[in-house]
Amino acid sequence: MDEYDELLKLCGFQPGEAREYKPTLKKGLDKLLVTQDDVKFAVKERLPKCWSLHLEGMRKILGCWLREYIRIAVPTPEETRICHTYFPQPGMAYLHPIKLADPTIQVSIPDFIASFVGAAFFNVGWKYVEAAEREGCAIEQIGCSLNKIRYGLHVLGIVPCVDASIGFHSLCDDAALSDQLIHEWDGTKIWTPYRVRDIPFDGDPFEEINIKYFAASLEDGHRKAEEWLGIEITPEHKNEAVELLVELSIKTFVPLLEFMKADPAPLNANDLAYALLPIAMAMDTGYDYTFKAHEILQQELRTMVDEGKGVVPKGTPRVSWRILHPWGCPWLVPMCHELGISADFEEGFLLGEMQLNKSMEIQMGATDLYVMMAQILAMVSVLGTSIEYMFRSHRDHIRDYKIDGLISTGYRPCRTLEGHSLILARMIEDRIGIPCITPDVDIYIDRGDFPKERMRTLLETFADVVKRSKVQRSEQG
Amino acid sequence: MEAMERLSKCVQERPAELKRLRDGGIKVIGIVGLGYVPEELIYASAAIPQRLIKGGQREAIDDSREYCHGSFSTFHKAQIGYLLSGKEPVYNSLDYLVVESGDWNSEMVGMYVYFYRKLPTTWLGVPGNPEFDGALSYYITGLGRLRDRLEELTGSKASEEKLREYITLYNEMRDLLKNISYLRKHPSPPIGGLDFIKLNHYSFYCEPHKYVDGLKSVYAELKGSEGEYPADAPRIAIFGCPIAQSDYVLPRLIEDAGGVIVTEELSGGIRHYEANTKVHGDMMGNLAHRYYLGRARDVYKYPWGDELPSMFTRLVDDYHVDGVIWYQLMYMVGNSMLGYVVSKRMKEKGIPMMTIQSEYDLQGRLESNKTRIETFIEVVKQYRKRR
Ligand code: SF4
Repeated sequence: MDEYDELLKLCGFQPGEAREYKPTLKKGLDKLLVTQDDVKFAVKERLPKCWSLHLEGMRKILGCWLREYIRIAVPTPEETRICHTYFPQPGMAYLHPIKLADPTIQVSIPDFIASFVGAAFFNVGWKYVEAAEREGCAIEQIGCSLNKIRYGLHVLGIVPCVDASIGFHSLCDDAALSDQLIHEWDGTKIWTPYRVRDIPFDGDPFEEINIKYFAASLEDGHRKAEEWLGIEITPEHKNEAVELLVELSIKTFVPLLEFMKADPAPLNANDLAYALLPIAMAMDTGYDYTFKAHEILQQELRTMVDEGKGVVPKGTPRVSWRILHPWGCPWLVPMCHELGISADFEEGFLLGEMQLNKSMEIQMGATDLYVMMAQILAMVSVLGTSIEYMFRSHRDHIRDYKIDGLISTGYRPCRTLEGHSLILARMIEDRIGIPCITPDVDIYIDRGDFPKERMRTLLETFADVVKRSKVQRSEQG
Repeated sequence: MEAMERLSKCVQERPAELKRLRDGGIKVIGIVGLGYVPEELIYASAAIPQRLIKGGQREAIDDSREYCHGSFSTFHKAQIGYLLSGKEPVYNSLDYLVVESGDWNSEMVGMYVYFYRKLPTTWLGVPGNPEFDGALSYYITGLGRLRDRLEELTGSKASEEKLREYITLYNEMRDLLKNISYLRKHPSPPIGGLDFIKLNHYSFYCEPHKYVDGLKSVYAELKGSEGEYPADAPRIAIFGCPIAQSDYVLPRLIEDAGGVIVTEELSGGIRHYEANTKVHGDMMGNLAHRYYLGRARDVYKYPWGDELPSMFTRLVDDYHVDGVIWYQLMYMVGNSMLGYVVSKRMKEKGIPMMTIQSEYDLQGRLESNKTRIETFIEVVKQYRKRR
């Protein structure tokens, strides 16, 4: 059994399935610049340390992601055209209708997948990033590594000229800007649906005119895709995508978040992100794997919760990551456990009461795919437009999931997310009184020069503060 | 140049001028952005626009550190420093803030200032996809809402007549700036880039009637004058990030080294003067057309297509440019990417291009920058000779 077999095993492949898939896996990994040593690192160190691999459901979920990563480099023989978008576009709802309109189109969010799998499992994200930095992403200007990954994949020829890159300007300029470089590089056809961010600090993120514009702009993106790909996206395709979204929400998203309310929580932050995110991604390999994996996972979680088992001992202080937890540095999660805090929650995924009600209202009243997408994005607590609304969402999460501290990921290259972070961290500290820190950490890749020891010291101090503050708050009732 | 000197006084006099106006009950409206907020609309609403365009000082960056993080754009960090430190009289004189929502840095300046200074603020939506059908009407709706807010604030109506009056005045201002800039197409230009940029910046500090009168005198003086720069001086274009009011180290170094700056495209760092506003029909619609679609495209309008990169090659041709200096403020990522694309175009054209990066620290590295620029000017001379 070599490391490739081991990888497939850790990713929940059955023996027969693994045998059949191995050649594709090797071909894909080669093209994606993942060496045998990188695979060894993944199976010996990264995967077992950072994910709950004793759970079969979790292993299978990792398998879903591995398949997506390989698919970027090895399309099926039928796939003749490519349609991309970029994170954090809710790719499922947006790209799935395109896939339904013509299954010979490969759909993907390559920056996300290459970070989520390439960087997180194999620690190869930096290879894509460095390629981008050689060709116009000036290192000293500090752009985000997610965008660099996307561009780097083109520079390295891993991703060829794309037939339609229907981007997504929702909260940041840099993603749309990177697409300009891609277009310059290989002629990829790009189009940018746009959300205008003119909602006041304490305004209503669902303001009708703003939502309508964004929705119309998303629809315009689909029109472009139709033109460039020679397809027709029918109302049936869109309805089917909405139905799938609702199904994913009911069968995967909501139950998992319920499990996370248990003390101790049964999954760690890495597990949670990988289990929840198919709902937001365009899975070119389909969603059957996801549903099957979830069925198994949820049974396992039910048993764990009933038996009071979790990733940390009961009563461990619970910490949430604002923005995203840095999946490019997944070792941070076990490091937090070692320090006695359960940093297993992620603001971007949690749904408090206000959001849950709103999301039900949106999904039940959904008559238009694009309006629904625009509204859901306005609701997500890290992608929203109104800072006050984001704060209210965080406040709900802190209450509903009994959060004792917040790590407000201060990702320096991302002006967008960090800009909000600094204000929100201050609002949360001032108005709610739980401790917050804003460490500078790359969310998407693990660069060799990352100051791990400094991070440990910082988290150690923070863990002490959180523990003390939890005791104090419980003494005060 | 006497007329120019007279105009230059408006910068020092501005704080006292704003105080006088505010004492008289007039509201001062700060503007953060790249030139998408029509000042005509603010004047027509009986308020005073104050475009926030100062920069170049390291101290402002240091002052911003308490509030925002380091990788925020240099220009915008400085705006936060000025707006929140309380050290800058003009920035202390604002009653209201209008922030363009078209680039993230500007939007966030608004958020920080609203949070820390509680300054009432409106974000004007500037959609980044102008080719999309609904984009212009979204911008028009935003302008309408802005007009309503201003009228509420001042209690005065921005009537069609008043709008037309200020539109006409601003058209005249832009025509004059254009005429003065075009004088630089001459082989021996009577004005260089440093003076032109300063002159342009005065328009943000001076009462517009007074400014237009002053510009007329400047133009009259320049038109009849001998060329200030010799015909063999290397003709330089500065492109890239905004050169803010008082951030003049780079243009000074270029012209001290024997070059002459004949054109610039500075991402909203100077007033755009090429396009004018129609004066017939619906004034708000006319303003929207001019300010949203009529002006030069910027990096935040997607997709760039060929329109944006070719704007630079066109300027190089029109002004017979020999060499390009790309002014790159730290952490303006979009401009940095555009700089890369433009550098490829310049290479194809055989035009040398150099990038100067700054976090308002050029003054601190004066000698090394001086040497770099002198060397570049020499290189440009060689290229020119070869051509
Ligand atoms: S991490 Fe930040 S800069 Fe990067 S794509 Fe996301 S929002 Fe944009």
